[in-house]
Amino acid sequence: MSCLRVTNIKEAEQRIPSSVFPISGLRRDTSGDLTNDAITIIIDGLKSRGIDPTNTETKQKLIADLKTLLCSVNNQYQYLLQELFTLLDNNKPVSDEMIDIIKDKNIFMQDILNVSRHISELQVFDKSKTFIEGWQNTVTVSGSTKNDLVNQLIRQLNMLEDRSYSELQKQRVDVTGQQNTVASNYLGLYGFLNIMAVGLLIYIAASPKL
Amino acid sequence: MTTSNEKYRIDLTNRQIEINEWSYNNKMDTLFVFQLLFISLLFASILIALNKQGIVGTPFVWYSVIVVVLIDVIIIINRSIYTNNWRDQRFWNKRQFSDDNKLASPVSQANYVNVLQQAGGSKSSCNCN
Repeated sequence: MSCLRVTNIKEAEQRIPSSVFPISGLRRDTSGDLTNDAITIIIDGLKSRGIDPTNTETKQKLIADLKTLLCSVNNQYQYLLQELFTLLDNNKPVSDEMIDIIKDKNIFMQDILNVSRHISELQVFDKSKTFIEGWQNTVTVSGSTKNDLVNQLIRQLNMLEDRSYSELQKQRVDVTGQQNTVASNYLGLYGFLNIMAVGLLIYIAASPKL
Repeated sequence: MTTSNEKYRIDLTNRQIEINEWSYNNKMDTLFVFQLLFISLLFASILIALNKQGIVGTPFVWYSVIVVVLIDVIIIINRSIYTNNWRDQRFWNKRQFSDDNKLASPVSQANYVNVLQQAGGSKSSCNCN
């Protein structure tokens, strides 16, 4: 299973099948997160199909599958947001159905993050160190944690519910600004590396014998 | 529907996003050139080092370096010309065509009717309008 590339609205709207999330209508708390018993139902469902998340190898495979699923749903979500902004740019009405689909994708991503966190925190049978994803509960390069991701999704969900699109667009400005910062950092790094390479070339060319 | 004030804000935000995305892609293009130069410089360094140790001959080093430099120059000039002349100034991945909306159909509607009539048809059989 590889990360889905979304090129049209049909692909963006389709429900991606997942062996981890076979059922819908799971219970949620007031903040919209899956309740503990809902997560237990998902884990029990996996076990009943012979997928034991407490096994180290199975656990790693599950986490990898969930990461791919998250990537695919995120691509769909971003595509749908782009479509939404295109409608707004052209001053066209936005249907409730479209907003519902985007909200569904948002909630699905939150579910994936919550379940993957739960699975990664499960103790494995051999009592060795639990497998922890690189982005989980650790500070990443940009200083964000997985909880930040969930919180960001919740904020976006609230914005969608309130139909405050301008806030969503402000976030897009921030994201593109951060992309620029990353690109600038790479440019600085490669500028330095090029200077070093020129120095090395001159040094080698000038030395009489190596 | 949005109010004019909100519309103004959305337009402004969209333009800023466009600027940021164009700038980002431009930087990534420059980064590609930097990476190309870096690889070429290292390649030349390795060849010169091998030449100093007598493993490869001087003509081979010169020819190789000239080929690599030529490839680099062609790529850089090609990208530069494309960005300056053809690339859209708002959307990085969009190409501008100089004849956009200017090139008329080789046969105008009047001539089209004449051509049809000469071919044995009639104006009434032509659904021209």
